[in-house]
Amino acid sequence: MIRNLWDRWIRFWFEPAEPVNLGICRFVFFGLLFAYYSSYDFSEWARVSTAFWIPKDFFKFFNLPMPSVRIIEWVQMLWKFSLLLSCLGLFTRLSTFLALSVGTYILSYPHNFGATHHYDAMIVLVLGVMAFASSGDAYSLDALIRRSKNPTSGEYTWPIRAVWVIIAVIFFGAGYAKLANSGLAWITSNYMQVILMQQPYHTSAHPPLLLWGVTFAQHPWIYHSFAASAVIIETGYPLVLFNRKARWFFIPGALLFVIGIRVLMGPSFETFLFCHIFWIPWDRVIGRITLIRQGNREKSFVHP
Amino acid sequence: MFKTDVNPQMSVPRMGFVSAGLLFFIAISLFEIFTEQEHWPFCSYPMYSRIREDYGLTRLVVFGVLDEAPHVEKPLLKGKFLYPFDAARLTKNLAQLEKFPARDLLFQRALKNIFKRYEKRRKKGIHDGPPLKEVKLYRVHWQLRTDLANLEAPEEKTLLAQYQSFEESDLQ
Repeated sequence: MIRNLWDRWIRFWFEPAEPVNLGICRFVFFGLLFAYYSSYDFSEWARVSTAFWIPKDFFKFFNLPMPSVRIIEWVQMLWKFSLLLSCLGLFTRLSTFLALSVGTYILSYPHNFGATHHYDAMIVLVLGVMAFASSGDAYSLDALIRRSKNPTSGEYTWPIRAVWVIIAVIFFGAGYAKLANSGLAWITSNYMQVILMQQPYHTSAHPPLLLWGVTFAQHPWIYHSFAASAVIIETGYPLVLFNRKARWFFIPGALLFVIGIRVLMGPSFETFLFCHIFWIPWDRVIGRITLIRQGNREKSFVHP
Repeated sequence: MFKTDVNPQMSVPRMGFVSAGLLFFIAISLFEIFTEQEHWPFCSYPMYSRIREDYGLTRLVVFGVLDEAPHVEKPLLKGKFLYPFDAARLTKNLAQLEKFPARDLLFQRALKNIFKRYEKRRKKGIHDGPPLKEVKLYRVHWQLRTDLANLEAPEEKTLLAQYQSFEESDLQ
């Protein structure tokens, strides 16, 4: 029994793999983060009145004061630079570790002004994985400089699987909370109608992109379907870890769900979308593209 | 250690370290979820989980009093007027300030800052909002409507604090 469990554990986390997938995931993930946060100025928070300052998380735990504008400017510059270096794969160990440590501070900083937002928690957890992963062994400047070929290893498998587990745990947490706090009434009551109707009243960080929510709120079968899909996708998401077929339903479903929330309700979880790039089998994508290119070349050789 | 037909090409201490980290993450995440606690970045994600079937919505909202006669009051709901806040975060922040004994003083300082930032950004052309002469904090109650006709005129409004600028520096 224990032996069987150990075997499954090793097989799931440490099955040897080429460094390609992890290298591309690193490049795309940090590139997306850099693009997303490069224009966001955290120092604006240091310019608001101290009356708004209500310390939370580790700011409260360590009794950290509200930082000055200058400190936040330097910290955010360091973080964005570490994201860029991590994307390029230069000094990857150091830059991914900096991205985690400085990122935890700078991302939690706005939470001290009234609300802990959840869209950035997944980012910090993934940064935590990447800080301890050997992600700079392919598709990186480090690999170019070293010019050494890395053999297959479990080191290139566990970080990707860890991100899968992070996404699954987070979706499951949201689904479980709904069922634990409200039961099936979350689906059968008019609550989804209330949610759709209240969003245009600016109850979330961003207004909905389209005002279709209030139209859908007038059709019970639509809002009950939305509620049912939310609970099924969130609670059932962990199935993707064990069942390949389930991935074809839950992963596109979760992506549509996150996009639907942004369009109809407002809350933006783009960062959840970024983390889904770890589901893409990049080596197979590259293999397919190479095959298509070779095919085109052969065609042009035969039919110039 | 048990033998398996998978050869991870990793040292046993390294696999142990990684496994311990993964187990720690899974355990702490499930603990947070099942006990509904929040120690960011380990969260339980309880947003929108408790049903509320009534169509009323009560919130703290900042209104701007237009400088131009007849000095109409408009809710400042758009993020560009409140940046770096958004209406949702500001409401939550003000609701927490309301619990402090020094809430009147905190509301005054908060409104002054909102007013100054609004006017400063307006004069720089960052937003296209109208000039304000005053900001007021209300507890408002909306009866949700699908036509949104009451968005700027909620059914109930209770004044909690107000700030009017008499300082020349506020208006520059």
